[in-house]
Amino acid sequence: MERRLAGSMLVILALLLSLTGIALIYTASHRVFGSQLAFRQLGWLVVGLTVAAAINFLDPTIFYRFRWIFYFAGLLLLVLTLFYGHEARGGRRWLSLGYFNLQPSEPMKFFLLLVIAGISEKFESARLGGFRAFFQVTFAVIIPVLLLFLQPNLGMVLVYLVLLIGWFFLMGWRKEGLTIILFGTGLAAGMIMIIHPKIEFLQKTLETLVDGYWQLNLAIFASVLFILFFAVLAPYLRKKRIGLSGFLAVLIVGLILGALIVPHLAPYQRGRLESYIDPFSAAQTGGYSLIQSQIAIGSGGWLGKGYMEGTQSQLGFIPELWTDFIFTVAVEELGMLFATVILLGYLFLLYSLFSTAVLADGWWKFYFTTGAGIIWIFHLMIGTGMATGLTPITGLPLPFLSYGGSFMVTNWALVGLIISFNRDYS
Amino acid sequence: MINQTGDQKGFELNRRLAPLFLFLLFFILVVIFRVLYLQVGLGREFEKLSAINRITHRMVPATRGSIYDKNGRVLAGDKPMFNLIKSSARQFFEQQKIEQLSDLLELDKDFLWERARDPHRRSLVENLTDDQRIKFAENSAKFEGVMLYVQPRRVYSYGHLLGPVIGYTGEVSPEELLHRRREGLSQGDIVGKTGIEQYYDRVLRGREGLEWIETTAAGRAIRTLEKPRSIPAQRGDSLQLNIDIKLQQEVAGLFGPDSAGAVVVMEIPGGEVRTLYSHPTYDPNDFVMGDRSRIQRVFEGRLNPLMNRAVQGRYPPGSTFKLIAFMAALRSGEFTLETKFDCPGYFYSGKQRFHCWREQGHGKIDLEQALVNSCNVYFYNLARHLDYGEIVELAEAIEFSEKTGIDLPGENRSQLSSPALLAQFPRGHWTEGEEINAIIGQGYTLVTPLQQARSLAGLVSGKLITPRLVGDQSDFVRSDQQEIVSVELGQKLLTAMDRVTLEGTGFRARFDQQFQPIGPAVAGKTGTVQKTRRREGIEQPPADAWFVSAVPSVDPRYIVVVYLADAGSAARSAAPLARQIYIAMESIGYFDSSPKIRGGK
Repeated sequence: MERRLAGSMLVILALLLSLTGIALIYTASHRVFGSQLAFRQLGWLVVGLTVAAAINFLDPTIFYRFRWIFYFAGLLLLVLTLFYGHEARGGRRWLSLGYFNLQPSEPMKFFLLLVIAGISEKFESARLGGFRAFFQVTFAVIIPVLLLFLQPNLGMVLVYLVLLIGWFFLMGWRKEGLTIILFGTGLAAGMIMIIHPKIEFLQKTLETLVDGYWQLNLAIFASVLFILFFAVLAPYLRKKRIGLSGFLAVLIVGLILGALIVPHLAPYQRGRLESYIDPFSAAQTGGYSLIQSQIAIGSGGWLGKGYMEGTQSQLGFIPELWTDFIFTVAVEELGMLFATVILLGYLFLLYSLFSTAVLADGWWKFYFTTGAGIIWIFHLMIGTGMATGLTPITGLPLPFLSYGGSFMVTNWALVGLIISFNRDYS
Repeated sequence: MINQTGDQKGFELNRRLAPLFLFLLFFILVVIFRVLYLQVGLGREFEKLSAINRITHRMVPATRGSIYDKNGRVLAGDKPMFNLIKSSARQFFEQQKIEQLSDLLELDKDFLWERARDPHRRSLVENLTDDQRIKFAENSAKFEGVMLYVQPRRVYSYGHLLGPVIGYTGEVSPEELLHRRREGLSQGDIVGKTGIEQYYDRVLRGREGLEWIETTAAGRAIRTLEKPRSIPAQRGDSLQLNIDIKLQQEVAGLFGPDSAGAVVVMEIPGGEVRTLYSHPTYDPNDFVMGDRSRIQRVFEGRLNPLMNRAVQGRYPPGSTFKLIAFMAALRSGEFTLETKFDCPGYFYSGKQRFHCWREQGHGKIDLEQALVNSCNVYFYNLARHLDYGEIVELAEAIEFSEKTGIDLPGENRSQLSSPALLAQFPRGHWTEGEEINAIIGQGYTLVTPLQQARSLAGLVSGKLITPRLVGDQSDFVRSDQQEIVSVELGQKLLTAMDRVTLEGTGFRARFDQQFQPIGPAVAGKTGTVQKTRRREGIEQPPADAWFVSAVPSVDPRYIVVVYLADAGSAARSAAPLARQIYIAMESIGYFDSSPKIRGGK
């Protein structure tokens, strides 16, 4: 694809999604907020477009040169949030700034991409060894992850970690990426195995073990570390690649740890897991909105019930409809076909994004652009997956579509910088 | 332009990005198929539901398992009870609505309002009368958020008789929810609160079911749905107690209105508890019915009816402790039944003078006579000449200061006065005076009536026996269990205790007022516990009375322990009461299969 065409397509699709989003936010929220939320979102779109235009106007090398300053400013904001952030829905995630609340974890995505793209550029141009690049990228991501973990903001922690894994693949470190994915898979499988209602006896046995015999726990924990070290880390440190047995070990270690974590989970965390595994049995607690969302989607039909006509959405059975469940509204009211159109819109958006990435003149631009793509893909996965009951509920909004000021402006800022790469300096 | 990097690089980049893009494509397809599945697979049903109605779920309460006595009589069963509950514990109500509701049902306004606002309770009104139920049903549309709920209600057929033993049920408290969250309890569930109901709650409770119902916008149920699947409620398991309610009834009849005490009848060697009675007692039905004035009365009861004296009350054992001293002396090998001491009626330890209960003394008597006549001075001498460690050792062997392990919550541990115990007290130290007090059961030793039964069972049978209300102790017997005292010594104890009721302090346990033997031959021991030192001019409060016994005295099959608070001399109070129990046991047929041994010589 021609570079300019790709850039224009990116902007047009993002704009179309944003406008659709405002319409959906209106139908989702007008019973509660009237037109207030929709107008605010429109305002955020305007702000976002302005920011994008401003960034596009500037020379992108400015962002390259000052990337560390941006990064540390972002970290500072995250630290401030921990102390002065205002508390809502079980976490300190927002900074109050007079007329609006800023969610610093959103702009941090932008700043983080600037920095890790810079590290990767040095690596690609052979100014940085693979080993050091690996650790620098990891550290640059882990520090904000820790700060987000303290808030706590599980959804955003996942976004950053997925970005890290995706990054490993981008940089050609497939085995490292695979190791982490296997570990995560093992962890999840271990937890599900223990918590699944059909294998209750396993759960009971484990709980008695964990409660009664701390020595046993210690022994398991020690052997887990032992396996992890000798199967994975030791060969790695000697710069040998991890073999098949190493991958298997990682999976098993994850499995064991996952199983051991379960009895230590806080009740609400456990409730979430349970409601994901079997929403009908946990209907009283977390599974409720999950079921209602699935009912809404299931009752949408090909063409939907009509704009502003969705019974489930309109009657307020689903909380936070305009952020995490915006896809539900789309399917219930506008139908299966329209939902497919939205999904195709995202597909083309990312296609044009990746085209820009491939055509970019320089590694830093390539990595920055692709990084934005990884973040959006993950938001898309969780945002649609949760609404349809495919992934656990951890609440992530859909890019451009869902309500959220910081999110909207950050996304448009990303678009602004990415299209500014298109201006030819050669 | 394409790049400074060249075509090779472009190919490489595509290779890196391809997996990402393919993954995205794949995921979007998965989402589309999932939406299709929701619409075609489950959608048909959902579509109808969401069109006009909403679906919701409701819990189907499980019926609690029944409790039977040893002969299969129902002690606790269930009847349907109609309650009003909130649709959720935090449901918001306008005060005006609640007032309307209280007017309609003729209930106390403040009470109802308090219930309506309590975020930890779902239940609003328990046990509606038929009249109230019909009135509510006719007007239910007016009261959104209030539901009629049929719940099995516990009925205790024998009311007061089993009070603290069987316990009662009630709505789960926030604390219990927290501690027992792993059992899948939720707000509004009914759980056992004390006694058997609490101890065996998991057995009895069963599993709550869940059904999906379709309701109108106003929240009225229209029908139960096939899909999503309902989970049927599972009835709790039934429980058969070892208690013989008939004997329990006879025993309860022996207590006067203002008395307090406890009775334990335990079968050996199985440990089955046939009677466990604490007086005064309460009617668990009052708690289940939520009858506030009656519950109030129970709580304010002068003699604390809530307490299960048999397992929670700790009292000095008095002379019944001489049984342990007697056995410890024989077991040490330093004393025989013929070892003699002189009893002039008093005893000096340093300058302190200790009395025998018989002022003129018992003269020169041997160990067996000392037990038969409950001679204090003999045992003071024993205290002086026997290492107290022997007593501690025997007490440890029969697990005197452990819980008995009965299947009831809230059991108290007995304690033995010993150098180790006194060392825990701020200024306590072990002296001969303490030892003298301890050996006649007047020191710091405290024992529950149930522990008395267990100790005596251990002494006469040579084995540790765990009292059980459900099942026997076969599950608890350790195969490596050693004999704690030899059978031979147990026989000596029984012979001496037989003489206690034949010619000693416990004769009223065997003879009626005309000195005619009545009931089975019994081996027993009295214990009278003075609560203050004897002093001139001060009226003593009445003593507590014990009677511990094994019956029949040859090959005993039952341990019977009687404790009476403020009853005065045990010989005149506890012993004759015990006799009444033996007679009741005999008439029910407890001794039918054993050879008849009549009381007299």
